[in-house]
Amino acid sequence: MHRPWLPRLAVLALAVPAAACTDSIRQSNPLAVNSPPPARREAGTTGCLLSYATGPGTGCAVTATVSPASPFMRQSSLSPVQMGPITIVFSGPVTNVRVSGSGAISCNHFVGALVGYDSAGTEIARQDLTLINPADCGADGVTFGAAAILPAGKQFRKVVIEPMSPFQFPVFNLTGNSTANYSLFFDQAADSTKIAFTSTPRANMRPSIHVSANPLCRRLTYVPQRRSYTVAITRGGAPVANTAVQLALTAVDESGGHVAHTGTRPLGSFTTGANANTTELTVTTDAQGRAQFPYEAPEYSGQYVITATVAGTPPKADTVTVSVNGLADLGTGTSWNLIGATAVHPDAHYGTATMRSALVELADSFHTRFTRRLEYNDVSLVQGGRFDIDGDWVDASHCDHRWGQGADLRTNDLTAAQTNYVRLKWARIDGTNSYLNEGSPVHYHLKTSR
Amino acid sequence: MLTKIFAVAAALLAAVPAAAQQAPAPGLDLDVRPTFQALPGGLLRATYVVANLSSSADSLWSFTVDAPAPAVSIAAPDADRWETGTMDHGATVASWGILEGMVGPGQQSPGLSYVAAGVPGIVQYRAVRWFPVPDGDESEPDPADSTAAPAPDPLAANTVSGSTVGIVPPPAGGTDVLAGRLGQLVAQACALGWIDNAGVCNSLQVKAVADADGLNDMLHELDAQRGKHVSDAAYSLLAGNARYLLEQL
Repeated sequence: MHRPWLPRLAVLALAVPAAACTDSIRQSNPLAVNSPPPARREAGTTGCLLSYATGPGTGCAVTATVSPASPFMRQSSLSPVQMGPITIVFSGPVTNVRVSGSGAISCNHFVGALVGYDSAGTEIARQDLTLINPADCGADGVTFGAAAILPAGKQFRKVVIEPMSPFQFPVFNLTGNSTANYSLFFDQAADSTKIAFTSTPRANMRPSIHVSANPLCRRLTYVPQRRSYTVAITRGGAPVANTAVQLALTAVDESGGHVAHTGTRPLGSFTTGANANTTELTVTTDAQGRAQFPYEAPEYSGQYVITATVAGTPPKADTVTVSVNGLADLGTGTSWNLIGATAVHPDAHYGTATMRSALVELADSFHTRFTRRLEYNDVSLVQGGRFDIDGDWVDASHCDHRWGQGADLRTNDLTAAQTNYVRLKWARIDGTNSYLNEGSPVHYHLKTSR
Repeated sequence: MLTKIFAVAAALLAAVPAAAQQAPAPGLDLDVRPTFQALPGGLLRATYVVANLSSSADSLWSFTVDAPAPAVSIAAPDADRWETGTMDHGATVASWGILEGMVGPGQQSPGLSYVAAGVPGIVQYRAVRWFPVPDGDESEPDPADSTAAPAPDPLAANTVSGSTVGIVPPPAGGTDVLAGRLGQLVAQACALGWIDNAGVCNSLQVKAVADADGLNDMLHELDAQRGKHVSDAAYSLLAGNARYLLEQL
């Protein structure tokens, strides 16, 4: 139970004879009926508290440096005397700052001010303390405390409690002394700690190429696509050095046109190399609050998510799009049929503008001459990249269906004249056209150079 | 004068891109015989008979000539057996392809004709021997990788090219300009070997002037030398342009 009258007795203790003082106060102000605010956290806040009663710990992620450190959060003309301002510097931005004093102060003089500063040290708010309960003043003109609230919506990196003035004041022809023991309530600002990603380059990444054992792909060599990342940690705009940042890789489900696959999806790697597969990594920030790491794209296009986690801070994610840009759906037409859709690759007719135009021109001319539709099987997936026909992240037979420049044409039911027609037309259409005889069922693999 | 003519011819030959010169035939040894027929409205019909000489090892599959004057019509000699095209890699051409029954060694094609507005000019032709579809190799490198070697084009490896006479847009300029152009064509025909006698080259060169008498003399000489020292290609080229110049006088 707080007993406000006890400090009010003390306020006069060094100034007047004890018997006279206590009598006088008891007569003039028998009991302070109101209590000062309790030093506890309030509902609806992040619960930061800095109090004479609880010491320098704030109880939240933001720490505070109080000057003077002793006596702690106190202004008084009584021992221990501390009549200067109290300066509180926070480790990060805070909001909803409120101060409440407990002790004995004059009802009739300036009882102090609470001043807020931003991270640049600029004063951005000032509020004079006001008596918590003016009705408590009574005949002696003394009350237990004053309080102030800084405007909401602002973020502060420093607050100063300016002292009351004067500290000593007349009380029933005696000299009274002021004492205020403070509790400072505040919330940690939502963005107190920030995680930011920067990368070079920033645009979409092309898929990497890995060497394949498939004889159809024997000319492929390891061609990595890499990006350099920097993760920066700041708190209240200031860099946070020597902090561990945990990185993790995931993929957006079904991205890149890969649906319901078996096996484990390659995600790329935080380390480099043909066989690198580092999907979790911990880095430590330097003096500038930064840490760098590489990211090497997988062969499979899609959306990949890099998540950075720092203790006590919400994770930050950055989505990397691995894609062959410029691909579009061939779509349906009156002179061709799209075939080959599967449960694991339901949409596989994406090509470059050159390829799409060539396929349309070929089919239209073929239909004009032979009055039948061509049947186009796989081209590329929606964002290109490696096309694992079997949906297992392993199959590699479609190695030229990565760039939107390779398309399969079913030919097993075409006549010799019709296949010759296809070859002759395709050879004229665009670029360095080519065609290959493949597989089961027999089909041509049509290629364009763009 | 003869020396001068050969010097001009050599300079022109040097200016011809390497790709436009006769390339070693991958099994094809051809004789391309162009003829031209003037049509109303400034149109010209070019007809090619492509002889696949008995020295060839392979069958002729397609024949394409550049068409700087775009074709207004093109004919397939046999619609069931042949197909045609007028664009190749975005350029205007006249192209004929065989769907069935290739032109084997010792055989020749029927007349392959197209019509365009223009005059005879030297153009390039490309002929493809029939070859089976290559077996699969899908290992295409990233086309964005400038250091990666492009995949070989099987079509290019089975194509021969050379010079022949086609239809080019009517030349601009006055009669003196046209006469100068005619002289250059004489020099080019000689350099290409379409006129195989230096004396004939010299004689034709001096007749390439903006004068009706000279031009008529040139036509008479071409008629006389056709099939002797003047090939069908040279005859078509020079006679067509001499007549065009005569019409402008």
